[in-house]
Amino acid sequence: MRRVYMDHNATCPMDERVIEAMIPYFEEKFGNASSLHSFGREARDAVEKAREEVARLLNAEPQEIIFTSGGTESNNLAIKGYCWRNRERGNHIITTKIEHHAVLNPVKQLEKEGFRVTYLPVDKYGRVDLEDLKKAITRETILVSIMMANNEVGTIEPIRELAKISQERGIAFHTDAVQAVGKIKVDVKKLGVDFLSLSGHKIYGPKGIGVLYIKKGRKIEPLITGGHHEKNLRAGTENVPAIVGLGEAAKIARKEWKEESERIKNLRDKLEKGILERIPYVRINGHPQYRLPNTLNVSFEYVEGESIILNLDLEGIAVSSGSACTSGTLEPSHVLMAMGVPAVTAQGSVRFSLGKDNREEDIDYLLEVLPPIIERLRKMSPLYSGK
Amino acid sequence: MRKKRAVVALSGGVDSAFSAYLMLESGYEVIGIFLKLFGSEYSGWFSESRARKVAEFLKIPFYSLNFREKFEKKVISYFINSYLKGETPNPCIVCNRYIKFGYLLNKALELGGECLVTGHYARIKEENGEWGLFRGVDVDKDQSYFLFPLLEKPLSKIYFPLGEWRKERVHQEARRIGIPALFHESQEVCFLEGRGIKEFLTKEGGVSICPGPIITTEGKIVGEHPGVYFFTIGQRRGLKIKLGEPYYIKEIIPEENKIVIGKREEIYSSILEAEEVIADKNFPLKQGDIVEAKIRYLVKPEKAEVIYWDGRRIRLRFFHPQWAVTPGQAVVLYREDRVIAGGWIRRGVRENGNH
Repeated sequence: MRRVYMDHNATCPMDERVIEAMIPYFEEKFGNASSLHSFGREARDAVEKAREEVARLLNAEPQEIIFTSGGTESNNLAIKGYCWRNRERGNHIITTKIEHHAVLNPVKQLEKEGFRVTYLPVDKYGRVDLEDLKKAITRETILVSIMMANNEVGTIEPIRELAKISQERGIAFHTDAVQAVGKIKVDVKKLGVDFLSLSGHKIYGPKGIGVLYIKKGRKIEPLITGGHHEKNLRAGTENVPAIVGLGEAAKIARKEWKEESERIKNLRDKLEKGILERIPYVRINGHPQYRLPNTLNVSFEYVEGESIILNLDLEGIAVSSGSACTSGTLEPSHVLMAMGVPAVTAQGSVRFSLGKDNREEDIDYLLEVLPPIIERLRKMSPLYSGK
Repeated sequence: MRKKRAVVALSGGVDSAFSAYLMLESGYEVIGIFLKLFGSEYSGWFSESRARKVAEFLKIPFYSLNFREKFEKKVISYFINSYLKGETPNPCIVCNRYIKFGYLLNKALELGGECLVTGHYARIKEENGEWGLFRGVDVDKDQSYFLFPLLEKPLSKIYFPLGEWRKERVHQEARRIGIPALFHESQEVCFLEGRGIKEFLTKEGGVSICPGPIITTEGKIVGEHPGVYFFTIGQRRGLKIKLGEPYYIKEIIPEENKIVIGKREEIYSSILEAEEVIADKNFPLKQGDIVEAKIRYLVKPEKAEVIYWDGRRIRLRFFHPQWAVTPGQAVVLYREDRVIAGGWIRRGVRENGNH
């Protein structure tokens, strides 16, 4: 059966060049990067080279790059690490209603520990209003955490402006840029952020590796203690092959993201147009302009997203619902709810997220397969009768 | 030409696994679905991983779907309410009605399935252009009792391949093929997960359980029970009373926290009243009909006469009085092998009119 992968916001296939770069570090270059001998030096050199590549991608300094186990750990380290360290300066955190659970749950944990949290609303496109941030800031506010681009709908937040507001008031700013890196320009100096999370497998690198960018001078408490790895901020023997892979992925992203993003955006726009032309009663979720070039979130009225996804899977096409973690429950996506999408509409949402491996034929295939599925499901839907 | 598609509910057990195998053998494209119904991610993990292994073994697509909220709303709350009313609930029938042959059947059809297949021991057959529900060939294992709500479902969209099989043969064949399913399935109420009814009702149902009086049919207090919810009609064990001759539970009255006991002969009823009856529209019932009625899973059907029938409520008079007619259980009516109606028992009445 023909297989088409359109779920790149969940994870990406590894770039072949990444795999190639990693292989020696599973085989002969197996040293511990902390060892003094030649085996160790070999590994250390590779880790530091990868650090430089990641720094270059983000326009950061290598010493501002900390390797973690992935995006989730980076978010935890930034949020809990900063708040624990700076507790005496205040107990208020600001974030948004549409963050990934890897931000929402650490923040909830802090809430249980006595921190106060403000969850900023978003408009119907999923954008945060600068005025809302200004209004939410109090003398107690120590950290603002706002994602750079939303994983479900792809909406891009005005991070530069938001970060400026916090910086002017001396408040640290973290952004979860897991979905943004490699798809749009991410320059930590221009953005003016203090912390930024990224994940390896979202940029065609390996799983189990990520980065937290920590601006020089910002102090945090480590979550994992042990040896003196990663400037005492993240103990544990470095995952050298994964770090090497991430370095290679960062290098490729830096050189190729612009061209690829443009190509993918054309495919995405073709897909969006094709769906709107062929299928009635659909709603595009996300910002028309400020949106990741690869992401398309569509609500198909009168049908359940889960049924669409399973039917597409049976045709070999991989997509996901807006709410991958709540599959089958009556709970609609928190992102779509925050955007004011009615609950029944939100249930019929599907996320198409394109990537490097997608070609025009994939879009054609989807546009051929999808309309009859929607039509068939609607015929069976009690909500649809009479339309 | 595209193969016909069948959606099989895989529980991880041997019956559903072998059903999926039989569908593949008869040329269907098969999709396996596991239902997450209760408990945490962890508690259902064992069966789910077995179901996954079965799907992998058969090389069929497999989906694990989360039906927890629906199950909670339709089955668990029914189960708790039934106890609160002093009944002995039968959650499997309710699950079949709303979950397996409700939501899951819809899902199967949405997935383009010709039919939903489960590992039940019962048969669905077409006779003279009409679809009917029949007992399974294996009389010891027959599960048609639990399936009477299917009489109001589209029977042509449901299929039980094991209806023609004997359980031992299914096990033998499944072992021979090497299906990696669970061969020993618990007969317990699945969502209790090994917990006692007391723990479940207090923790999940927020029910307070306290001791109360045991009285005879004459109204004499003869003992104390630890809580009405641990007992069922006809039960003798656990009463801890000594009255010279055996006494059995005749009635449970939760609103007064009372248990009424009676002598052996008082537990028999010849008249049974049932409500919410679902009947096969191809076999219209009428007053005076003689049917075979099964009043719980583990007893044989007994001859009875329909003495009242209004389309929803039924009253039956048994040829021989029945032991422990239990409110909350189902009564299922058969004509030979065919299920012609089923409903929920409200009460049993002794012939002289005393209840």
